[in-house]
Amino acid sequence: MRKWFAFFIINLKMILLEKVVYLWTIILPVVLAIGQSAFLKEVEPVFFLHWFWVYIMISSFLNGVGLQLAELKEYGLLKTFTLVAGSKLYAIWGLIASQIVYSMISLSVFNIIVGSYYGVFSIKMILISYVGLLILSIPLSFLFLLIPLIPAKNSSMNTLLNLIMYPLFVVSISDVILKFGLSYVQLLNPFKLASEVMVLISSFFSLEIRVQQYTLLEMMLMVMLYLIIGIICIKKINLLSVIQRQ
Amino acid sequence: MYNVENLKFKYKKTDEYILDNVSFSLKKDKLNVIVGLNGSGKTTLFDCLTSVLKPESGQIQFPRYHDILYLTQTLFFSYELKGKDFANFIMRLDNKAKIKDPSSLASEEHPDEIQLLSKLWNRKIGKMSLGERRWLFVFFLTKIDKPLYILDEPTSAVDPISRLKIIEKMKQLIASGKVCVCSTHQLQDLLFEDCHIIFLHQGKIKYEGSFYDWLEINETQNPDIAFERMTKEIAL
Repeated sequence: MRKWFAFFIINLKMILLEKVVYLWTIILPVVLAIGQSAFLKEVEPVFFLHWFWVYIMISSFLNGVGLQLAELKEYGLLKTFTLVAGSKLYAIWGLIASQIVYSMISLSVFNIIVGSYYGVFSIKMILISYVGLLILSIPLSFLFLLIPLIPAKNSSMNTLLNLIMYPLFVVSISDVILKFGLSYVQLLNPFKLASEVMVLISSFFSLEIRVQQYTLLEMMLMVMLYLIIGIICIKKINLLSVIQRQ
Repeated sequence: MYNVENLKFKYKKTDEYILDNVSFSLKKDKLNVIVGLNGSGKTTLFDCLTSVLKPESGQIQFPRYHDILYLTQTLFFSYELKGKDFANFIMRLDNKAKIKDPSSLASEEHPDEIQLLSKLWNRKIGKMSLGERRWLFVFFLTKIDKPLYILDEPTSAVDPISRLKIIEKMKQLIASGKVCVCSTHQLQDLLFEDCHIIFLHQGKIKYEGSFYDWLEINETQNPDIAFERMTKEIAL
């Protein structure tokens, strides 16, 4: 317990001290959400905001779990700390827990600023985003455990994956893929799956009633797939850098 | 004592053995030092000893991996963290109580170390010199109680004062009954230490024994010249 907590505390401190992180998970979503005020007239406030909640969560878990673990591995620290702690699982769970807390902070700041700006802020809104976060945190983290297995330099992966995020985000909103009858391909996009889960939760809390594009079973199957990917990755992640000597 | 017999290792997709029938023993009362050229297989050897890599064959009579403290070469950490953050991270990993003030360690550590620790306690890692950073990492990681300590080039790219402090830390471990093995290219640092040298070259052990016998065999008092002669002799 104490070992897991050690990784949790040190990671949370690192995240909160690295100011550039705020740019991606708070400032950018706030600017984008405020800049899209015309869009808000067409949809309910929570439906509009849930896209940004999903963006915040995915950005946090991609950078804070997948890429951070790849970096620890690349620099040889995963090797040292795993041998000190006795298992790589402490580092992995510590990273995931710190990202859940950081995402909660990001979601709160986002909801307060954007919700107040549009005059739709409520505690219920924050709670819904938290419930979505708690449900999605493990599947998303597990999916991004694929990253440390990619045989590429961490700096290159960092740039590439953060660049890919934006088109995936846009595609999940525009549903352009659905026009080609590829609805299951669309569900493979983590933004789409997370978005559907958030809409389901919002509907459950009666903040809005919207038609789901996918059934609960389809979403659960996709979540199961993410979890299976994660479990395989946890077993496969070795302690040695694939690109540099340590 | 801990020993290795006929250890063989090669990476997948390569034909050449990185470690080829490597055998040696570690001495409890001496500083065990693995020396060799860059690429001679020192880090691969450490990875095999700690079960990070699986050897093809051979016997390793070493403690289990969780009874070994293995300090790797690269010590990357967020530059924004302070010395105390790293210290307490290691304390928590080792199931020990948080340290609030470095002076609380005064009873168990040397006054010079407490003084340096106090200086680094509230300093950001990014503001420390490489030597200070490495010393801090060695200081806290070696506080973790293990029977065997493996330090991969702990004095690499470090100023002489910090090097002496790191060597002193390893000597303290040995004095307290622990087994300590390190790798280094700073052979001059070993002149005044009681060392057991294990010379690894092209994946094979070419010499194992006392540091002074090694100098004598190579007919010099300069360890760098002895090193050069030994690698040349092998090449010939």
